[in-house]
Amino acid sequence: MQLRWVLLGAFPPLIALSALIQEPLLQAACWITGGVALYTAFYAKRAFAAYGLLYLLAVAGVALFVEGKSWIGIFAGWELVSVAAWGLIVQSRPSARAQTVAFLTFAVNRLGDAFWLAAAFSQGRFPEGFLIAGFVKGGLFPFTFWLIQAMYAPAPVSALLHSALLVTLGVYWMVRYPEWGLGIDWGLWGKVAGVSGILAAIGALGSRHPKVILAWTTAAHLAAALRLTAQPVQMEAYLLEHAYLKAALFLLIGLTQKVRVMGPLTMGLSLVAMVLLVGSGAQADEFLLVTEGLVAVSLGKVVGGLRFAWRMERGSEFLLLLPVVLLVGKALAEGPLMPVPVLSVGILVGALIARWKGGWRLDRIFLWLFAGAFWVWGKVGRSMRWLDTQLTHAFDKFGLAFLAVARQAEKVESWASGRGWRAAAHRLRQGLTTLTSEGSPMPYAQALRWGLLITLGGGLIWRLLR
Amino acid sequence: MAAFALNSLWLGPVLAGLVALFLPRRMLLGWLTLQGFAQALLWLYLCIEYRGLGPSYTLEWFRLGGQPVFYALGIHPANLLLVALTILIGHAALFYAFLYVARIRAFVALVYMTIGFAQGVFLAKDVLLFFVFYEASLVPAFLLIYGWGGLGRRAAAVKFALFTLGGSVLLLIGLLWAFVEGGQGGFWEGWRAEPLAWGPWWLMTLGLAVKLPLVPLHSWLGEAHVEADTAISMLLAGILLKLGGYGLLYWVWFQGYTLSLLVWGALSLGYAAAVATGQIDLKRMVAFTSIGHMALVAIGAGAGSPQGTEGAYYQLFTHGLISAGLFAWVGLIEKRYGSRSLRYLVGLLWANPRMQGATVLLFFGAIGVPGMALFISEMLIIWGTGEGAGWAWALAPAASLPLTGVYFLRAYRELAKPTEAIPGPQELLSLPAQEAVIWLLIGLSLLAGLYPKPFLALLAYVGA
Repeated sequence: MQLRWVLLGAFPPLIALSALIQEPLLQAACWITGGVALYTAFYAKRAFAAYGLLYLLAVAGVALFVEGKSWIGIFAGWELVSVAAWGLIVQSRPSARAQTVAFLTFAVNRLGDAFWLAAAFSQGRFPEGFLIAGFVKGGLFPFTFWLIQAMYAPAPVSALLHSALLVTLGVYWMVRYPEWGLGIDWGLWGKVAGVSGILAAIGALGSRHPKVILAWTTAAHLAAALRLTAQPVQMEAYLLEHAYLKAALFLLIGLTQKVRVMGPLTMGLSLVAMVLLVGSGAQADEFLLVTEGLVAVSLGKVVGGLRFAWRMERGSEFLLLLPVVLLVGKALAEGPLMPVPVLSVGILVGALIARWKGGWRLDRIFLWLFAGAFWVWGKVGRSMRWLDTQLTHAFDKFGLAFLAVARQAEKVESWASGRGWRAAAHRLRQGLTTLTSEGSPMPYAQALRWGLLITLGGGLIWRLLR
Repeated sequence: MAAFALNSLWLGPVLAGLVALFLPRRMLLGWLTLQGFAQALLWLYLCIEYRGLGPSYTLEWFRLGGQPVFYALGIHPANLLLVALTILIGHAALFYAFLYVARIRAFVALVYMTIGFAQGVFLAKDVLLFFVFYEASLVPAFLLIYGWGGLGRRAAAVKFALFTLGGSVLLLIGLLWAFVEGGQGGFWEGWRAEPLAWGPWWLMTLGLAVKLPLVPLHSWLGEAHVEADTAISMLLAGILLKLGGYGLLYWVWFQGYTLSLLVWGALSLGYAAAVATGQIDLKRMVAFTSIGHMALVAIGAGAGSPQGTEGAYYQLFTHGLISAGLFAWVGLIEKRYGSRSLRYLVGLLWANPRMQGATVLLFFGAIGVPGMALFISEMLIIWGTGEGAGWAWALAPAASLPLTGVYFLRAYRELAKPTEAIPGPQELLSLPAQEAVIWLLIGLSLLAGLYPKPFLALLAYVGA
């Protein structure tokens, strides 16, 4: 049993807490985290305490974000969710890839955070910073690449972070703090969001792995939500529905990956979730309709691609289904949902083309760009390390040159201050002795003659020159 | 009593160090503990006594050019936290090194002298007195680096001394120039009344930026940190860099918005981040982290807004905690594995998850995630830059977020990589005292990050 009770025990207080909370996203966060904790208790095999702690950290992040009283508090919440994501990915799988993916998630999000901070402290002169940071955090196209990579994490982690808490924050600020968006040119950014959504939906259509498809549709849905900025009530409802249903779908995918079967109950649940999901966002907006249509086909591919069996193999699968039922039920209870028949047909079409092996990866180029930028930064780091060593050496050489000069100066000084004079006198004496001694090449008288001659000659020349 | 406390704060450690030279070894630990508590109590007393301008002690020392030079000590918002930091880091370093360091009496004496003179630097209310203490602190620091550490410690110590002395010359010339120009109303209280003239400002900035340090005057730091013993690295990062930072913030950079500082700080930040990214030696990486974090101090001061200044002062404190912790951590790894190279230590945390907790907390502390102390000070600096210099400039300190994250998480990825070849011994060397020091610093960093109110209350009005 290990520390499984930590996760099981987290469920009731979280659900109870949600009844006391007014803030809708925090309420949803409590529900989803409760459900995911319950799911993880049966799904995971180890590190239950770490899961529990990091789940609570993520909820605390959301709480700080929606209830924060100052920029610093709000940013702390925004950032804590990223930290929780890093921790969850790192500890979920014991592999080098998990480290890299977690690193990618955190690094990319921090890049966005720099823009967030510049926007926050710009006194309203740079509101686009929030939008850029939101695009990064929400994994909106073209920043979907980190979200796709983060699908490496197990299903409950994806359900919590990559559908509900982390990515939703990237768009939810428009609902919670609409005043931040004042001054943004929504005519332009609305179009950007629309195009981003459609491209993400196309990306979903070209993917094959069910979790990757879900990640792409998340990017599409969140971009679509940005189109609803003018109707905050609808936007909020849409985002919450999306969070519940996408979390449920991720949990379902995890279930099928785990037990390799998909009972009729599971199938039914996922279909309901999908129909509701594409229905909830379809508005009378050409961008949204196209996006949701494409998303419907992609989701159909997920259902069509899963293995299907008529019975559950083990009883624990029902326990794993419980949180899914809970989340779908919560989504149904949340508000009026309108399944759109046309879009439901899209799901059918998707299921039919599920065997289609073709595909494309729209995120690759951006992943490469980022990885390339990181590689270049690494190279810059190496070069700068070299440069810094050279700088150190240059200072060292300067020091050595200084020492050499000092040594010379010391020689001159010591020569001048006695030793040199003594040596000169000694040499002079020696020279004279040599000159005057017997058998020397220049006898004393000759030296005297030479001396006289040189003195007289010198005197004459000096005289003439004057 | 206030006069006694103020004088004892700097003179006490110096005398305690001298006494330690003659104490038998078995009494030394008790002496350290006693001193630690005594100094903490003095600080606490000054905190309680602190009202308005704070307690101070003034005595005319001599006259220079008709102007009196004072032996003036005082507690004010700007130095309250730094005095506490000096006591804390100094004793943390002593306890860290106590069990393994050779020539322990001399070591203790020199560390205590460093602490004492550093306290003098923080407490001085006369700029010439500040200079005297600043110079005095160099001597024990030089001897510490010279005497304890790796093979290249002697060269590193000489380099450290030459750089700092070169800086001191500039500082002294700038100081006297400012005085001769007559803009400053003496060396004492009047100093901060008028902004400094261009020439003295630059000379003093250059002089003190050696100690902060700002690129390209940082060249001594890498060598000194890498070659010195771990405890001395803790002292360097936790106390000695703060002398430069405090001197600049309090005596030079007290005038409004300064573009050149912003630019210099931003360049320094980028350079330090790039070099740290390229490092393989963990200790050198941590050293360059220090340069990056200190560059944020320059940016915060250059913004010239109250939040920026407050953030810069708080950054001195928070960075002192976390960087001392990081150096202690590197020292622990070096003791246990005999290496600091990232190439060799691949998979260290994978093989020994026991070190996981401290590593993650220290790394995230240095990255500045919410909940850790550095987060608060960095936010204040970014906020202050946005307020004082405009949002585009706020991107410069904000760039520290992804840049710092990249090199720390890169190092973490290497350390935690699952690997077949497990580095080092299976049975880890038990170093409880060292681990306790690390956890103490982490705990304080968490405290100052989760509940910064009392800490910021001590800093109140510092930027106003």
